[in-house]
Amino acid sequence: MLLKPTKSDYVNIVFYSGKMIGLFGALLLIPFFTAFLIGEWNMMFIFLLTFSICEIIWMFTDKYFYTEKDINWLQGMMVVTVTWLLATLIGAIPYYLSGFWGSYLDCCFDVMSGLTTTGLTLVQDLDHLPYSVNMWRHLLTYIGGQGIIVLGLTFLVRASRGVIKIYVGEAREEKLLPNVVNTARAIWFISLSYLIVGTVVLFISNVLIGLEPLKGFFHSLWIFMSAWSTGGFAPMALNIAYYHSLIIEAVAFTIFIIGSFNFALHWAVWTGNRKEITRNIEIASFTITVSLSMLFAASALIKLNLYTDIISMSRRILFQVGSAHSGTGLMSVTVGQLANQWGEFALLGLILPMALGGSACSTAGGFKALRIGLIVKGIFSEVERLIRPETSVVVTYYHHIRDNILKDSQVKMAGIVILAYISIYLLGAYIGMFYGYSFVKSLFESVSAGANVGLSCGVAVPAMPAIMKLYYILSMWMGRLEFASVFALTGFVVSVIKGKGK
Amino acid sequence: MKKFLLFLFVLIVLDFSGNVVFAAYHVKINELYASMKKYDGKQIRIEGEVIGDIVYHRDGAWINVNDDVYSKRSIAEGNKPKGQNSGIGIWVSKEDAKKVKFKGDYFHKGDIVYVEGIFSSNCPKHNGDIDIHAKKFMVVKQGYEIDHDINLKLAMISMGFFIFAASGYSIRRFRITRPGYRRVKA
Repeated sequence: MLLKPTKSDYVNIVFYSGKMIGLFGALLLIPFFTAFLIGEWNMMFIFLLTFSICEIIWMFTDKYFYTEKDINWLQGMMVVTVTWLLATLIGAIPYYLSGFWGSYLDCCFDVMSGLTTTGLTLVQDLDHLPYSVNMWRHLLTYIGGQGIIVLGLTFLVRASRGVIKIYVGEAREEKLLPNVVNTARAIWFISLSYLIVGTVVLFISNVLIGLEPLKGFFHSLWIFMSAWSTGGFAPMALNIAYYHSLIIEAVAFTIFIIGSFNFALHWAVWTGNRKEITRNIEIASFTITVSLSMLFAASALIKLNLYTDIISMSRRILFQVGSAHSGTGLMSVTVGQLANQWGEFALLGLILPMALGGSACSTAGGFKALRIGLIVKGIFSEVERLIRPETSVVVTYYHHIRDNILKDSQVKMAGIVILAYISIYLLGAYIGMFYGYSFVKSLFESVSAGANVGLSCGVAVPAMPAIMKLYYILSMWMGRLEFASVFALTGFVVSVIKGKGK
Repeated sequence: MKKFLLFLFVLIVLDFSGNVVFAAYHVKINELYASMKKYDGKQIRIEGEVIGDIVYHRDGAWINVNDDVYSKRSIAEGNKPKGQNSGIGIWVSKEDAKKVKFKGDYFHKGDIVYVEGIFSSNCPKHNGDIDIHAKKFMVVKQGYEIDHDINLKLAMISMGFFIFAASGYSIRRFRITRPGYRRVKA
């Protein structure tokens, strides 16, 4: 029997979501101070206004929905869902008031794109955008990569038993440490450590190529945030191609590949277990699929005879396939070049790595290397079972942080999630074709949104139909949260309408 | 004979500095991206705003030029959103790069430059970059600083919300830190 949500359900969801929004609001102080330092006075007031709105929401929910009850699974999932939706709507306010977006829907699109680390953007006149707005764009990507909830757990919620339910709701399953709050802190420790190192290296590179120190600092910070979170935003419209620098490309490449690794793997390496890099099933799976994707893309470009020398071609393939596979979306070629020069064959070569994605419990999207590894192991295990005598018991192991026995339920779950991803990719392609785009371009953009990649062949532009914008928002959201929280929202709405009880 | 000379004159145009050159395609950057094969290796002319930064190398410099609608009036100057940026990297000599005084961003309207050069969709000198190697480069209109007046209405609304939030927070702090205070559960 389906039960109607109780008052306690609503209270818990509103109370914890309010806390998360309060913290999300505190993040607005970073672009606020950026605006203050640079002298962007109107933007400073816009960020102050948005910050105040968040804090008023938090104080209101804290006063009228205060509770000390622990939360259950459904409530945990709903907290994630409500937080992400509210963060998108509120995070879009500074965009809208800045005047650089065509509509509020476009602003919500960009916030969702940032939070889900997708990188598709509908901003207009990016090259004249205020520093503080660029700071907000990249900060959203950085926070979204680690997770809004992960950030919330780090600072706010006490370590009750229920917090694991919110943590899992944000597509995080790995526990680096026995305690979820400590796990969240470990994730932030890793990310902030890399932030310092990555920004310094990029800053040196940027100053060497001739950027002014202040601008060089901001660009370095933003490119790091974008690359580490496998986001894809860049401060300039030409994206990475703006810098005309092999060094910047190489550093960004290194950062987004490392960023696409599982936080559990990072933690294992940080705590001295360096052998994990060579033994981990995700790294093996990722290396094989990246290599195959590069070969596929290379064959397409060789057939097109686009590049006259092997170095030029390798540089483009390495960066673009790496960017696609890790779910980053940074571009060393322009959108026009990708759409008109690379051709549909080469686009197909990028669709595959985009769909596959990076590691589980990382900032990357897509199927995830762990699931692909599990499915491949599952297939081999099934073949082995067929060729062995009926009485024999086949036990398959895989290595992920430790040696694990492969269970049928894991393979089944991996299959279901992959099927769900394929569904959103294909539905997006269908909608694109409905509005007159070619199949390959529609599929490319749909996979890019659903797998949270952000590469674009020119479909996701401000002029695209509102239905496509709405679908891409939903697709990015479902892809990032790996469907669980979105299904929970559907279930919650159904239980409100059809459930029995008081 | 006169007709022939007139025909030749049409084919040959005078550039701004008075030098005689064979006709170069005057194109928009978006058109270059849309028809790369057509313009690859051809001499083209563009006019647009210098954006962002100048990146110096040993034997030249990169300048990024936009020729979109915002190169005339950016959103920072009050224009409405009318599409996304459209720009390309221009490879110029260091001497030419030094002619640029203003580079476009939120606080500046960049110099408007005229560029005539060879378009490459796969530049052999720059590892396959898409670029224009400038043969002629000149600033046709100098940029300027953009004034941003403070929006008083926005400032007052923003401060009003902030004062409301700050007061609420102070009252909350005062209440919950009182000895013996017990919070009311929903």
